Amino acid sequence: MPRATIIVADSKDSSRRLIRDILQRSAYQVVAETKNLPETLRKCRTFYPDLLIIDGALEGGSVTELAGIVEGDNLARVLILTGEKDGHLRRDYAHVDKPVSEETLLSVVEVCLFYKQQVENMQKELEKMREEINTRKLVEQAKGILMKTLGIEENDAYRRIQKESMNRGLNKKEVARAIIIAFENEAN
Amino acid sequence: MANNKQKKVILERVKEEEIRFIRLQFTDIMGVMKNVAIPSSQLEKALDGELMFDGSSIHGFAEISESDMYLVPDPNTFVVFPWRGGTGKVARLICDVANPDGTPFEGCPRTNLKRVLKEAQAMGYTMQVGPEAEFFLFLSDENGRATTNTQDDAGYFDLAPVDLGENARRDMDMTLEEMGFEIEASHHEVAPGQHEIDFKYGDALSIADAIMTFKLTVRSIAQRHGLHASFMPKPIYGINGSGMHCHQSLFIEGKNAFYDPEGEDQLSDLARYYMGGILKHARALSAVTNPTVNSYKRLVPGYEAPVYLAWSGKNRSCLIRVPAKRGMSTRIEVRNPDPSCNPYLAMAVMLKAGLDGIKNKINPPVSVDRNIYKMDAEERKAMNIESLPGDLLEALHELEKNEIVKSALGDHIYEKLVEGRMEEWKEYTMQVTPWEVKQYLTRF
Repeated sequence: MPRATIIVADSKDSSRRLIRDILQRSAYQVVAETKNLPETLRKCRTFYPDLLIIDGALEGGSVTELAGIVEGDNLARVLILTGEKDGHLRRDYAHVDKPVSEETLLSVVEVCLFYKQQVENMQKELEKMREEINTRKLVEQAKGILMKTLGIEENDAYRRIQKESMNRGLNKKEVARAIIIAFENEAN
Repeated sequence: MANNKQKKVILERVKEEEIRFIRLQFTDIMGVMKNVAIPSSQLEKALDGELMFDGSSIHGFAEISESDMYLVPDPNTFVVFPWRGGTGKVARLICDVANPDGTPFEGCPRTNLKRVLKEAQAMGYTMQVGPEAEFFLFLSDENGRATTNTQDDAGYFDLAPVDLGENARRDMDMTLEEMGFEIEASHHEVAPGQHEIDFKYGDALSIADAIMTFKLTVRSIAQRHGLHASFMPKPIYGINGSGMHCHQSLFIEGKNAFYDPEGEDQLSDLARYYMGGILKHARALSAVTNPTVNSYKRLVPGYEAPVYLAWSGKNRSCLIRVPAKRGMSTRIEVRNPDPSCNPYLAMAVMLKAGLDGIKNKINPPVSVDRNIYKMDAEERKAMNIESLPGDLLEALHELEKNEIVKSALGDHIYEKLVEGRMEEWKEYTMQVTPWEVKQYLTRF
């Protein structure tokens, strides 16, 4: 398994180096160290690391915003080292309170990386289900239109959509959407 | 205002996508986008045009005495921002500004553009515009503030394996497409760190809206990449500035009225008169299309920016170029506007100037196919080639003398615009610039 890649974002040189050294001793690959928010975004978009460790007091902008962008755009998973004033960050992101010992840091990093894969799988699953629900919604609506306009049974309506989908090499969602649009245009 | 069906569609979308905030946007006279964020619970009220704001706080808007104004959203402009921040999804609606009694506010640039478009419509024309906005991507510094360091040269120190600017621009293209833009071209420009994204032409009002949306999107995405996007016309001395060439044409009943297969160069008389109008009023137009002190530092010879009032089919030193395409794509390209302009006002004044050309059958001078940068003053004089104003003050004086361009702005906007820009000019002239210090500090 390739070594996990990590970026460390901390405005204070001493603590950033400390974290980097701990990680490197444990054979993690620290691909970049950053001192401020814009630089962190640039490095994340350059390296797409597995994990981004952010100090809660990072300078150059809002850490909430940064964590939101990095996780939202799927650039990396985020671990925040929170201080006393960072209560708001604890709600939405993986975090560990400072000061943090070497052992704690390493086990938290390990947990983060362990769940990273799981979260990604679940995200994919979720996306698939969302797509399915959307398709079903549209197909239901299209079925209703066909039943009403052609006076056919539900099964037949479904068969028609299925057949059209196969004949045209389009998925059922597209066919259903076309039926709905055609119907609405006629109604206008 | 939104009818019931439109309202229903928008409210459903907001519920479905779990949108928490809606930004109500409008553009002030100086071309800056303003917005009021409302929670989605207030949306229905907003769609009914019942939301008020304090107009006296907006530059160039109302006086204190008439400060309550209404925002009337245009339901066709509803867009969900595809990017997410820390606070969930956000959507927006572009609004017109109305007086407390419900009548349109004459200081609203968008409302004003509609008025001028109606004039054109009464003559049977719709205006089609295709803008080409250029911008720079700079690095943000350790405080998150913009610098004038471009990513290109920083990339050298960074030893970055990727071009961050390219990546950011690709993200911009994709985001804009998600928002319904049809991107026609997207490329690096001449200067380091300079980029251009072109989108499909359309009717003047939607394009003016699109330009404002475009600028906001480009800036937001740049920020998400640790970069700062700037539409400043000339951010760095000695390299190309950023323009916003405006391709434009008039359509009559869905047909391009600039095209005439029988005409000279296959251009219609209408196209010639329109160009004649633009060229005649160009010196006054520039106060609107190039409205900042900095705009005039771009309009100097040698950097592909136009300086001279002429037109040509080929050469790019002229104010107007006529691209070779004909048929539906027949158009003229006005090359002086820059992205610091208020697009609503810029379209209004350019259209009005063109219409004046048509009404009065103003013939443009013969086209100039030589590089005007290389002519000397004598030659230009012999060919009767004038130039654009040299600075903002000259442009404002030209505007003061030009009744046609003034009428395209309306009294309120004209007065506030000149007042605001004059203030800017005065402040500028009092500055002691680094250039002066360098030149004179040790010499005297």
